[in-house]
Amino acid sequence: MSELPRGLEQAFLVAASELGFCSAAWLFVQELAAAGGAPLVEQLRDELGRSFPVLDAVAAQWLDGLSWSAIDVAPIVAACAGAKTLLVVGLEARYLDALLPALPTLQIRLLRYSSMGDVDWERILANYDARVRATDLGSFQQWAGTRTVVLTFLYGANDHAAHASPAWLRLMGEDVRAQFRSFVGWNILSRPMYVYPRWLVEVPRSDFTVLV
Amino acid sequence: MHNPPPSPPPRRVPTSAITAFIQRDAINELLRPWLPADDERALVVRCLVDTGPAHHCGANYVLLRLLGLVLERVGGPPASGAADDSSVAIPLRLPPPFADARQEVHFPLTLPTRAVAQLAPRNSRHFAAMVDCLTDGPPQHALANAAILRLIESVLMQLGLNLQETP
Repeated sequence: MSELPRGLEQAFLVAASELGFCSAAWLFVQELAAAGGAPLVEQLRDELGRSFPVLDAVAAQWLDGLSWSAIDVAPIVAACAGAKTLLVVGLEARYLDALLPALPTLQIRLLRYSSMGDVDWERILANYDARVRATDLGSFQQWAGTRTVVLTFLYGANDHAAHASPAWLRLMGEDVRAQFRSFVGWNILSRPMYVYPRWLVEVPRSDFTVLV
Repeated sequence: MHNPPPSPPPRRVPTSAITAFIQRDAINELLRPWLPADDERALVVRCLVDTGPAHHCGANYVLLRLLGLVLERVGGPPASGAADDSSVAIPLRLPPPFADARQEVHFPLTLPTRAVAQLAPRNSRHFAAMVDCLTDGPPQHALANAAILRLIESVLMQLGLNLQETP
């Protein structure tokens, strides 16, 4: 394959809404790399990078020789020690898939909120066979407490700020800061984004009690 | 004809100056005897000096540090200070539909009542009202009250007051 398949943007949008930007990006980059190598990944970056900055960053990462590697969940597991519930804000399927087996006793709640339009949450949750259950902005405080950890995925972080899903801003209010044990930011992008981080929001690093 | 009263002088202290003097580590260490678990202590420190209006955070910090100095002067937290069956739980501030009796929806720092019982008998309305005042309000108030009372009780114990007895 020497050219990008047609409809790739729409396909990526659907995949990102059900897998998460980073998880979908790795999937697409790996598939295109297998089909057409670096030229095709460069073409992907050139054509879709500005629309999807996480895809752009992942493609750049792959072009720099950093391929997909095993996910280290140990720091997240450590941050959840003693907890009973993990409230996940934002979706990144590949990272959740790696994390869940390492937290067999925790009940997992996923905030059912997306800024990507109509998302089929039933289909997303079906992937987890009842291991992950949904909560929403009207009811997530049902899971508040000193044994609940709130986790979100970050797309790059520096000393002052991090990029997160807009869902984080919907959830993280001044009241919520005093209702949960800890707030974990899991940075899943190993290099900063090169283009304007549309779809994401910049949040203060101080939102997080633990940043991995 | 009267001149209008002079307007109050403008506030000169910027918010950043209030938060600049707060040393979170010092409050963290101060609470360690009553909250040995790091995560639980971090939650309480966050409520005391990171949430709510800046002047509350600053005031909490100053009062706790000063009481800490007093306690240090009289010998530090007494060995038996943490054991307290009479303390009162402080609930997380949740919307009413989500509030319940589970331990995990209460802050890890409880309100000690042995010093309060020096002011009114435990079974009195006055005592109940005092405890209610001390545990009500936003987290930065209620938890500051609890932390301050922990320090006051410790000071009183080090000064020889028998808190098991009520006057």
